[in-house]
Amino acid sequence: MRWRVPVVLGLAAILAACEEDRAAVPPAERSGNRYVGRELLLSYGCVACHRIRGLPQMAGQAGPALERIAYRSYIGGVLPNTQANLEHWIMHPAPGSAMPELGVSAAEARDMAAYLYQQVPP
Amino acid sequence: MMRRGRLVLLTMLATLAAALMLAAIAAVVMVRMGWYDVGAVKQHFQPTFKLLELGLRYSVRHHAREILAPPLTGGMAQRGARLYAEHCVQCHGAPGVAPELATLALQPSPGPLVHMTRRWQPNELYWLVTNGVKMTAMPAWEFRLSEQERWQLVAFIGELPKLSPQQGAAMLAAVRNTEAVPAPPEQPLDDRPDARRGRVALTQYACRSCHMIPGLPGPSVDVGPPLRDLARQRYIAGYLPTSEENMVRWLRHPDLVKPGTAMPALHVTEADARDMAHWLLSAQP
Repeated sequence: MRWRVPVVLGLAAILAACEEDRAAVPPAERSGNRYVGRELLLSYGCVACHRIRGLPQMAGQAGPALERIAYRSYIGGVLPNTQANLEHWIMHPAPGSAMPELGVSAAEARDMAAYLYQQVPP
Repeated sequence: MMRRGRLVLLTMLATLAAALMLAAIAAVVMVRMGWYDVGAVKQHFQPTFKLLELGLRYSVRHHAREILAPPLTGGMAQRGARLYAEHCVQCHGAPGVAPELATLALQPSPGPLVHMTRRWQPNELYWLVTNGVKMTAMPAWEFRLSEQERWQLVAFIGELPKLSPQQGAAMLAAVRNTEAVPAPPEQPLDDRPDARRGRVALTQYACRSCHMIPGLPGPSVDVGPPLRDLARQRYIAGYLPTSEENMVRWLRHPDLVKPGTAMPALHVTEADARDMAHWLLSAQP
């Protein structure tokens, strides 16, 4: 009986050590207020199209899930993933894209990006 | 009490020995009868991928631990771009650049390198370039490129995530004379798309080396979005209303649908695209 605890703990440690890739945008390269960002994501209705962790999920899915956005290589499949590019995309999605221009200001985009990047990936 | 303990121990050992013997016999029969499929169309099971991935990670970490990386400069990356265009892009592609057709169906798929600096430190990348990887098509470059050139490649790989698809394509076009790839011959179209064939086709065009696709085993990767529940998604790539017809268009000519997309044109034939679209939109688990 006594050996079980250390063995289970040992196995758990080995599993926990299975590291994931680092984020495309590491915490040191992020800025903005994620608490404000959360409220903004809700008030601009982003969840009507996107799945975002920690926010209520709507039925329809017009846009891709954003849960792993910090790990994705590209924003909108077009721009390299950096905070500056994500902010730019939130304000001005590529022409022709199904994502509408919502009149988001630069300061708001920064806070929204901050929330999107800190999601703990599933 | 003592004797009971010994009996238990002996039983355990005997059971273990019998199980090992059975497993060995099963393995010999499996190999000798030729039941294992060595073909590269049949994919590994997902746990196999996971094991290989972890094994690679820990092995490279361990073997590269004493290599000291020099400071990597912009000049090195620039020279690395030339080497990359000459030796690497054929299998790995680049932002906005597809790998050569014949390498798409390698197993394991070489895959893109845009996210490699998030997985490896520079000394580990150097080790990988230098030593290659057993049982994959990754060759060792130790006897082909100088030490300096290998570090230049590592420097350039560090720049890949900063390149937009257009920049990547332009950069490689500047250093390499790209000739038009002849399109593969079109197969005759059947009446109905074949979802099972489509599932296999997705592996043969290396879709899985950028996208996670539920129902298709492969490496963990975040370069493109996961292709999950596409039938419930209203748009394809954010540009076309979801339908099999539009999916075929997107799979065959991504850049015509969405200018500047990181998804390269992979010379998908009409028949293959139809089968893939059918699996993605109506048969995927």
